[in-house]
Amino acid sequence: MEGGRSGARVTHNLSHGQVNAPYSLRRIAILVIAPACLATLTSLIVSKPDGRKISIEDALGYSNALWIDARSAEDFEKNHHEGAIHLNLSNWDRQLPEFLAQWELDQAVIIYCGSDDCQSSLQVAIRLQEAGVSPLHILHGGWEALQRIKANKTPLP
Amino acid sequence: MIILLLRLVLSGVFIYAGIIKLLDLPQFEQNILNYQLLAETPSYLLSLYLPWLEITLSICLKTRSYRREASLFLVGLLTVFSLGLISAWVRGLNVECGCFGESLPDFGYAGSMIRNLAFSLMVIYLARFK
Amino acid sequence: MYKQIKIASALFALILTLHVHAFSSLKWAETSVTMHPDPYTEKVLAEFHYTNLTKSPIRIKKIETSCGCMTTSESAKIIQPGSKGVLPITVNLKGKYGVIKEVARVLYDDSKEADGLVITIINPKPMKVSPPFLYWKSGDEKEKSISLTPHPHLKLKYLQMIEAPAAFVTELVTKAENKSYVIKAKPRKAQTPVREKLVVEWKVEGRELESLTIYLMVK
Repeated sequence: MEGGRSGARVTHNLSHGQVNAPYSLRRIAILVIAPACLATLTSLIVSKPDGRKISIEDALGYSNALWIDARSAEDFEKNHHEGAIHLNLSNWDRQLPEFLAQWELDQAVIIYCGSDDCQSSLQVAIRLQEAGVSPLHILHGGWEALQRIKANKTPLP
Repeated sequence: MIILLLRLVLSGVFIYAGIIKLLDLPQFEQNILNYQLLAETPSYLLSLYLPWLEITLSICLKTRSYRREASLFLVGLLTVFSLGLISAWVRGLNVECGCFGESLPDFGYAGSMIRNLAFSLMVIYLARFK
Repeated sequence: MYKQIKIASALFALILTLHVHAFSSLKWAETSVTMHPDPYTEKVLAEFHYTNLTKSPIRIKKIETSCGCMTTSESAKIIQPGSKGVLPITVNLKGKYGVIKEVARVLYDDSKEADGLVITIINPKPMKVSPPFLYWKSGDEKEKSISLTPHPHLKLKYLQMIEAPAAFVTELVTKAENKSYVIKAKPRKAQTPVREKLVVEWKVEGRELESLTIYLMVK
């Protein structure tokens, strides 16, 4: 690191044509940052309108979103997000009427399961997307992220 | 002449690798996840970043002023890829390399490692010429 | 340049040693399996093959599971150097559908390391309903349809609509006898918000009668 920094100074003084000129920290930085910018652009272009995850901050920012808890019945009974409907593929037939009763046209639907690792929120999202429910979001970090917010800790990046 | 050719081949390979990944980002994200080294978010970010890094580096490989830094970076990148492969190998995971998306047949661990080593040597060799 | 290469190779060697050192537990032939049972399957059995590649015996202390639905016949056990074995894990699927992902953690006696074994099961419902429900925006009178497809491994005896909603015009169309059906529907009064259900009944060979409810609504 030290070598690189002093090198940055040297290259400014010397001509660029030397084969053994030290590495320029500035150029390395550009090499790191340029793809990052391009990646950000890509993420804006290719992000799927539905299904791509929503951050906990954005999710809590919705004033009248309909929340769906896609975890197991035991987990739901222990605790869940206020007002959330319990709906997953296992209890689908039993719980769908409750969802249909509460859901309004164009109301945002936010689905969560245990963590980032679980599949059930995605599966519910796929089913609801088939039916044309939109906008539809999967909560990034799931129940774990909600717990972290409740515990007043900053969410993990 | 040979050097020019090698340079073209090398940057072509990396541009190709980058574009192939960009065309099927979800697949590449899944490939990264399969290594079981990173959680979902870092994997997603990496799947966006790596292809562009490869493309940027291979373009810079052709420019005079950025060549040396890009070479150093590429060698580092190839080393990191190889480390990932070794760690998957040691843990007995059966992962696809993901290096060239789904477009090329899988070389297996040893094959991918030898390929990475060969690329690294090429990059180092070329970096010595202005 | 050479300095950097030296540093890189030193790091490389270091990480490699750390890895080899950390790998003092069993060598698993696979650490994750994906299973595709047929509908109505109540239990699936996943088998994980291991080998003790170290020079000393390894004792499995216990196996922790992510769900009460998982059982294994193996418990504490000593594996001699060089010997192979199978760890069977049974997952009870009762009432679970879709992608089920469960993890078993194998804990060893003299190591803080644990191995995670992942079982992914895709448990299908006998009847695929797509989309799962229909809705019309107020004023929309377009005909919409829902497809009903029994799982290809099942032998369907018959399927019929046993309850039709009053506020909708509905029709059950047989696309392929016992293989593929479509329900076509449209609201009678497109302006009036309403939510109704229709019920479909079917029978799979060797099983009881089954039914499912499909909701139609004008929002």
